[in-house]
Amino acid sequence: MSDDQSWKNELNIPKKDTRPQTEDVLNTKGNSFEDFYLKRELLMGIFEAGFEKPSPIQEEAIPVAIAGRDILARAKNGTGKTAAFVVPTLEKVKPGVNKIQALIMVPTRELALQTSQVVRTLGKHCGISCMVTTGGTNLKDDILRLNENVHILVGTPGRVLDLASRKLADLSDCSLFVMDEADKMLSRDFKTIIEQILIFLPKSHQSLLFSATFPITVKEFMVKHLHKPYEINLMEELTLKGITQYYAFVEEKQKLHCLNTLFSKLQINQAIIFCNSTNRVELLAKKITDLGYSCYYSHARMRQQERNKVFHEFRQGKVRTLVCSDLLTRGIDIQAVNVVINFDFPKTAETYLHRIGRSGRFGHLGLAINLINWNDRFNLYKIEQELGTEIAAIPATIDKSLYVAEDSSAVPVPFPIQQQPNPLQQQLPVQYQIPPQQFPVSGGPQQGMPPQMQPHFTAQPQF
Amino acid sequence: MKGNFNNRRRDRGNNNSNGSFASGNGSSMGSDRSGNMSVNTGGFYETAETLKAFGDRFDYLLTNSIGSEVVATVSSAIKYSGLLVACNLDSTNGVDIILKYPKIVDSGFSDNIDELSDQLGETLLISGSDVAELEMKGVDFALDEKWDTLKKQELEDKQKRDKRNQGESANGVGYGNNSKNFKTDTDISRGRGDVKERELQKWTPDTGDEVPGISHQTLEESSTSWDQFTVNEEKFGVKSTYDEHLYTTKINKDDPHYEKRLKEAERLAKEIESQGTSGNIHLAEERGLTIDDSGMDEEDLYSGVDRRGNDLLASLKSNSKPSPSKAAVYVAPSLRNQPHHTDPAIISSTSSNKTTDKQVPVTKKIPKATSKISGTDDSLMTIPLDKNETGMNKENETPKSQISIQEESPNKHPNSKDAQIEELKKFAQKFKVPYDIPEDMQDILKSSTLKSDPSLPPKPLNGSNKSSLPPTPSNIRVDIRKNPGTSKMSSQANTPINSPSVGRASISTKRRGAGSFFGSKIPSADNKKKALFNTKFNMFIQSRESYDNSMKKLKDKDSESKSMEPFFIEKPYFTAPTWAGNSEQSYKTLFPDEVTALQKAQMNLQKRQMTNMNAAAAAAAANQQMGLVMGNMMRFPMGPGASPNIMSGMAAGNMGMYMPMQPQPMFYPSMPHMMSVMGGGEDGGRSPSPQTVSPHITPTYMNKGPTASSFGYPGAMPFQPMISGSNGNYRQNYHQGNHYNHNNNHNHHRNNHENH
Repeated sequence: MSDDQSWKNELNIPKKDTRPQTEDVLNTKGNSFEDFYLKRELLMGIFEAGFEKPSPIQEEAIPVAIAGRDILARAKNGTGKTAAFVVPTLEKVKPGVNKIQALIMVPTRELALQTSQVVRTLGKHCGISCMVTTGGTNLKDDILRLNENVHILVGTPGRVLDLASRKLADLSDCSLFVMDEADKMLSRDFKTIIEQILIFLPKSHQSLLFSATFPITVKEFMVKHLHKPYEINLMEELTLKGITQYYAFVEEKQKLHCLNTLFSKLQINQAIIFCNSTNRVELLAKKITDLGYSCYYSHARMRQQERNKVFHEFRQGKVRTLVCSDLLTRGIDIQAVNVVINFDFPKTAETYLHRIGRSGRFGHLGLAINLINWNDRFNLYKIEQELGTEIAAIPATIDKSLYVAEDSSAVPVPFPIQQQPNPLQQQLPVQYQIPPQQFPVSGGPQQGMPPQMQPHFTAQPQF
Repeated sequence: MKGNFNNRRRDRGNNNSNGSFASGNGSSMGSDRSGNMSVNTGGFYETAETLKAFGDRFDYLLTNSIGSEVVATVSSAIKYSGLLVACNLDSTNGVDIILKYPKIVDSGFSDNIDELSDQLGETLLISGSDVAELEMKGVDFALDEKWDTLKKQELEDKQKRDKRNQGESANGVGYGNNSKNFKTDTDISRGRGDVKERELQKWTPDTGDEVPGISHQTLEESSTSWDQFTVNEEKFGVKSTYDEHLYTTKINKDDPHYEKRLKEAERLAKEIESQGTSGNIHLAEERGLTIDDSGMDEEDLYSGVDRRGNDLLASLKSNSKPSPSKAAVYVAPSLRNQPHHTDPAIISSTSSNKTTDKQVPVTKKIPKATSKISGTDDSLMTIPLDKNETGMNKENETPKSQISIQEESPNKHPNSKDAQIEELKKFAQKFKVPYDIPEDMQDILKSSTLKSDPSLPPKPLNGSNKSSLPPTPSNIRVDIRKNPGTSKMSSQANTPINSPSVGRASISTKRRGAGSFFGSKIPSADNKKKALFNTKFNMFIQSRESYDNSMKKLKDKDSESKSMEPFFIEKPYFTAPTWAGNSEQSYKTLFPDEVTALQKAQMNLQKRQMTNMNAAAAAAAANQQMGLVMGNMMRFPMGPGASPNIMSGMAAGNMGMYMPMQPQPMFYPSMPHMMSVMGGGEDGGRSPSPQTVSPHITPTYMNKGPTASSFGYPGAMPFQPMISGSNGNYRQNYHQGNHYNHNNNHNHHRNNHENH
């Protein structure tokens, strides 16, 4: 780069995350972000987001994407895929051109929010505006937003198609097309929408496809829409190295009891609990609050405003537990989650893989516990077989070193909201840790804090 | 591939000299290596590309046969066999070869084999000009891949070893580039083959940590609705700080044109939201429509990947085969309080405490029979049963009235009872489906004959006057679905009458919550069954009703959006695929595999259409139920004789019509073709109101292929405002292969789509 390194000294680099990482993210060639010859503004955003070195997938994908090749990439959950496509996107988008220049498609609305947030965090010095458009929000507002400058459009397929087909979102100059969770996006229902959206893109666009799972071959789409895709496959096994998986073989009516035991025995930073139906999501969340733990729930039957609220607060660490359906199975990145519990066991292997991938983000350690009842056992065998692993029975005590960070104060909130160029209050002081007053569970026993959970929180009052 | 090139002669084709190839060593082939270098003008001529392909193949062959035993005939007719160690492709004079350990297998014209043999050393070099023929036996073309995989594995093993040794050193090799083929999940996990069963270790709760209130309790045993935000705020002080501008761009409200833009945006938003979605669930969801996610749970929607292959096969499979994985059914919010899960985990728990209150045995039997419809799987059998019982506790009204029907009927026709049973028994013995029955269907047919068991009450539907008639298949079908409303499963299997195919109709297991079809009211059976059929099974009346209801609700809520409430007409049932005629073939021969299925389906489709169209027209003329089974491609037959009230109501209602459709398979014939069929059927039906169709734009973007435009988006075509005249009736592009606009006489002139 240049000899003038002074800009680096003025960066607001967050506290270093000291948790141990696995080679899922460490096994790199040793490049640094500066080796990619990115623009200065982008580098600033990257470093201020707390990134130090590119992860393997970023190292592979960023230079190739900047060179303009189509990419088909798979890498494990939480190894930095999002940044792997956001960085080249930001590099390629020209802030001076007032057109949509990149389209990022994701399967769920929450993921759209999160992706947009990554774009805004990494690109906060780039002068690039990124808009989210998903269903469930006011369509009228999105149409109005498109009157303003929009460089990057992040959205879910249905809404994007609606906007593009009416020429409300002008994609004629959108030369970069990105799909996250590409296998889901290319499964039947989404694929037809995606193919129609592609009609509105210029013929010679670049496509970047990313996912952690490719249960079916994406060959058909590759042949049809990708031009000599550069294939990146960083997986030689499916499951994350950092995640320890256990099953607890219980009767259906023991599940709550078992869950309560887990709560009292485990050192949970934040936990995500998956249920198989919306009804059970709501009921379980209620139970958990009854047990004295703060808990939000989310599923696709809720109003989008509420879903967003839940998602936002949980990301910010305001509540300890989130109960959800498979709506939040893919892509959701919350660094502080160290335990995932499958209260109900999923049907497909990729769902299982994505669910447990909610813990152990970015090579960190995590725990996945599956409550299995008599009827689930074949599903368990099947998924074990498909993933080529064997899940062990839950031991009486679980070694803390398997999932608990020694210094949890360093666990970053994924992309701290407070860093954002806030449209309402400009330039807030940058805060990377959640201030204690924002973490109400640490308020004391009178608020229903179970004694077992307390030491963990009082020991680290800053989180 | 392996070894079927036993006699690969290299003297095939006389080609041009080397000059015809682009690359120097591409010359390897081409020329006749047996010394005949003259360009044979009389020989066949191939393009340079073909020649190159020949050359490449030959090179490949030679490369692969290195190290294998070959037999070379030289120009003196002596045949040598030996290991091929090398060959010189660059030779301009045929292919020079080197054999290791040569042997003479045929001495040709000379007699002195021994003499010749003595001269042979360990290696033999044969100049290209001497080689007359080269015979390679058992060349293994798969070798390449084997090598590849072997090497790859070696490399990976090595890498793993290296990594282990180096620990977490950062110098690991990026192995992204050596993945030649894209690996699927199974490739990576290298699935161990069979699913391995093993003993699971039971979880035992610690003694003494029983928490009152949760031990031995399932989730469903405590259903109360709650507001998570208030509870969390009260108990834990969690307050929300969400602001959408943290995620998305801001709306510039200071813009001078803001008002104008706002209005325009509102208009466009309404337009988009009232548009048809062709049944695409994600599109519908994004437009805020009520989703009929029949059989889809959130795993299907947001996480899992459909593995059922392409559109056609998937739709066939989902129609014809009960898939256990689709067992979880979403139930409309109005029915949420009932335990509705078919997740075995949940069922087993919910049923455990409720099985004690036994219902009238009559009703117990029926669900049992119906449960067979859903699948032959034993584990599934119990599910509807449990569900039924628990369901009945909640809604007492429906089942009771149904029971009464069933108990009444024996009193009404006591004499006919035995005769009937006899009849049915005979029928069951004699009745044969005129084509091969798929295995799963056989069970269904059996289960329907189960009903003839004397211990069961007789069928209410077979009146005494009918008992002398030979039973028809429709009777059987009626038996199966006798119990609408009590069991969701049975109601799903229902088809309104006129199903052309008995068995198939009953195995149609496209799950559908009762609520999604009946709205908030679940019909209770009474003696006026016929009247019920006419109202409750009429999807137009039902749609109208639910539309009116929602309008009412909306009016209560706010005045802003009421004008644009979309009008839904949901197809109330789903049919298994029908295929032409009573052919003696099983469906397996019709849909043997993906490729042939596509081809055959293409052929059959046209026939099918004809049949269905005619059936539709005829039935509609007879003023039967509106819901006709139309196969897969056309399930919105607006019969000409259909109630005109509904039609005008729709037209006057200022609303877009919503017709859920399936994503279309690729091969549906173009519109004009279907059009003519429609016209014909109509005339036969003496239609008072010509059925209108809109063929015009279709050909333009039909070319793009149906998938590219199946939501009515005409590719890059500019949006056409679809507002017709003063009545503000939004008309959507429904002409995607199977979408029709149905207009009344009085407004089709005004419609901006030409009608004919």
